[in-house]
Amino acid sequence: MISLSTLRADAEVLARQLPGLALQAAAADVIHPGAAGRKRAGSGEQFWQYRRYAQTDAADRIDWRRSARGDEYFVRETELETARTVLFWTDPHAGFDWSSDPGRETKADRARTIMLALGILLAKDGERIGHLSGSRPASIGKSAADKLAEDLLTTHTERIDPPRAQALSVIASDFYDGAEAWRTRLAPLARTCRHGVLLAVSDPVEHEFPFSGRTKFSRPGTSLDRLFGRAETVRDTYLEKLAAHEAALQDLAESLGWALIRHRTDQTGLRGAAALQVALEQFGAKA
Amino acid sequence: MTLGPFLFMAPLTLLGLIALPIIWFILRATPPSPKPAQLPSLRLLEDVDPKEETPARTPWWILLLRLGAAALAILGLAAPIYAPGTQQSDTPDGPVLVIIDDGWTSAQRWGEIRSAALSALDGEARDTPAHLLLTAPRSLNTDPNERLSRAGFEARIRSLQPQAWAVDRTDALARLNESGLRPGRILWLTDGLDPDSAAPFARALLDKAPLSIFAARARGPLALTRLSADARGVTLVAERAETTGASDHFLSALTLDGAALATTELSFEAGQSAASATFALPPAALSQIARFQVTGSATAGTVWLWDSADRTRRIGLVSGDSTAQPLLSDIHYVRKALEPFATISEGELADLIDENPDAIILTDIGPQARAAIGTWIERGGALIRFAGPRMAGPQINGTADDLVPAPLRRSSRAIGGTLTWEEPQPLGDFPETSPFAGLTPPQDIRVRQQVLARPGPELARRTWARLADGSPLVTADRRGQGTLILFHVTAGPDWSDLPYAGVFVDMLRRSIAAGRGEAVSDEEGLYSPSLTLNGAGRLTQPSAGATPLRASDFGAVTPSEDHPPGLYQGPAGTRALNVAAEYSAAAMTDWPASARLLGDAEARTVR
Repeated sequence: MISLSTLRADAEVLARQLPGLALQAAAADVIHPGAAGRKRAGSGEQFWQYRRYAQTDAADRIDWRRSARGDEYFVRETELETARTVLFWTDPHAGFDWSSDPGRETKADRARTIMLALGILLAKDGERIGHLSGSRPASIGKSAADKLAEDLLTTHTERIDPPRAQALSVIASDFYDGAEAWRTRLAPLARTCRHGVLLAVSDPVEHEFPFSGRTKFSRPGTSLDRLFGRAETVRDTYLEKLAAHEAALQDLAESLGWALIRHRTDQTGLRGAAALQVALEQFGAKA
Repeated sequence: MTLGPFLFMAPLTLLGLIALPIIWFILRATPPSPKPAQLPSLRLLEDVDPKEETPARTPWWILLLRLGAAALAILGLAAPIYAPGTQQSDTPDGPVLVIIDDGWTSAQRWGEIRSAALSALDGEARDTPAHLLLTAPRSLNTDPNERLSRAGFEARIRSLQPQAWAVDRTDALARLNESGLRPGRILWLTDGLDPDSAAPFARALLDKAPLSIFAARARGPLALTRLSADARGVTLVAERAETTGASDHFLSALTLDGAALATTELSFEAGQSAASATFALPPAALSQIARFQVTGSATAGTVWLWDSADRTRRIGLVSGDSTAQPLLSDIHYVRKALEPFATISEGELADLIDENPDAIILTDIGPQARAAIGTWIERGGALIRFAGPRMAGPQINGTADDLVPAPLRRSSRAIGGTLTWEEPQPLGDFPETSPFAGLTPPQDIRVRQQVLARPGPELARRTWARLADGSPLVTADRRGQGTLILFHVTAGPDWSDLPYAGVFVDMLRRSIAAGRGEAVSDEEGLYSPSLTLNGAGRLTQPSAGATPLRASDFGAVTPSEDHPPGLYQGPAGTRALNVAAEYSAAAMTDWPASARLLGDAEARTVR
């Protein structure tokens, strides 16, 4: 597994490459993915209104610049903003934390890097981020990315506990257990989270099936194995099955109202991170 | 069975080649073991049935490799021998005789010789016995007939040390012939020196058995061969065996307890086998030096023990004369006589006593400082006095001069004057017991005047030299550890011709040496070893086998176990026996052609 410092460094590199500033500029008021304006006065960054000073207000709340223009005292109020919550989850299955080439990142590490890069961006925008089924609740602020990085590496649980409140969920896995199995697993979560992203990370070997000859296949993390006398003969069958699996996965995402992002570890991490960012922006716009 | 250049010792094994087609068939029939592969998406293939289970073919190159390995194994088991008959068997039957030159010339590369000896039995059968012959003679020589097992041989070799004396190959060969040993193979580990004895020895060994020669010739300085001392310093001559290339080394001058007093450079020029080095040291430091050593070399040959006989003496001169006319001074003749051999200091008597020279020479002076000089003689000084008008004159205050070996008559004796009957006297023969014994008295000198000793019972014993008529010319007596010597004539030519004679110089030198209890010549004395050199060039207590030497034997005796090199203590001080004295290194290059050469000898043939 990737080390905490490497994960953090990789994710920082990704986050720096992502157009975080452009996102903020474009989505300044309309699709602001972070602080969502609640259309009333409260604690927040954006100016909401000036109102007359009341006896119950503390003296230091008076906006002296505004009050100096007239005879009355004014108090400056800002718009109430509440942060959105984005929760991440990584599949702890041994087959997910696997790479066909020792020189290449494992699928799980790639997923973690991408998710942490997004986490860093979101935390910068003031969002609440956290790990699903983690030991800590989702948090805000500068330390949120640090906590997320630790949680991504230390939380290994098969459970997917639905959060108490509305949140965006990012579920990273290879989903090779089958679309139906995942539908039952995700059902409780989908009830709480209207929106979410399925991040399907796969290894290039799983797409190319470059085997031939007498080959004994095994699935990492399980005792399952199959022996094929001539592996090249099952290649076509395999590719068909893979396409069907991907289609089923797409159906699953659509039926849940979620987005599906496919990513291969031979692609750059930036590509996956950008796709995830776009998906999150869309949901941010909807909210 | 031969096939081409090969001889097969087990030809029936070749029938195994018939099995190769069978192996080929079996290899084709059995599928290769499946390649393991990991695939997380294997679940997708859960319900797929493989259409074809026919195993894949073994790749042809694997098949070829396996068949080739099997064929080579069969050929190897058939014990092939390439070009039979052209090779000479390296292991003839019979025991191995190891001959080691363990003289002092081997000490420098003793480690290599020992390692080579330890590997002498390598490649031999496990029970091959070894026999050992050492060429440095000892009183109890190793018996070449003694059978040594492998373990016993090794223990024996590890305990061997080089001896401090030279090898005697003729003697070793005689011992070998006497033993009647029939070796199967001979390994001679030699110092590679002295071709005069090495060449016949090697030929004689070759007549007995196949011979391997391992030569380890000493590198750098091999021996210190000569020492010459004069008043300016000490010069040593070193020899080396290899004459190619220039090399620089260092010589140290050490005291008896091993403290280095001085170091000087010893440089061999390319092509030269000898080099000399000079220590320019003050006489007081020279007198402390007991040995010279090539720095960093631990052999008996690179140590030069310095005995007292060679040492430069320190002399104090006191003259009663004014020095207005130096050529007329008595002391002039003494100074000229001693200058080449001794370091001379002049001055007041009290200052000279403080300097503590080997000897003090007083010409005719009055009775001064007698107490101080008496104590100095008691502690081992040699006081040499010359007579003169003052000594012959009337005693002052009536006190007798007690710094004389024998009581003197009141007046001097003048011979050959107008008022005397007698002719001036020549020198008589020196008495046998005198330190002057061995010197030839010149016949052409005359003594015209002398002081006379009173006759007494001790006089004859105390007389070192006398005139032809028997009257004493030089008398001496021991006082404590020192000696008091009186020449009954003046130091100048006033009373006699003696200062003109060459024998005067020798007489003075021997008189000076008589202090400290050392006489230059003591032919009869026995010198017993007090410290001996071992093969590693260290001074040790003499072994029980070391026997005393007669003084006359020094210079003639060859160092051996009976007379190991070292310091010998005798009546006239210490004498040194140096193993490398007058040694001349000659490297052996003419090795017999049929011998197998190892080490330096091999290097020689390659060149």
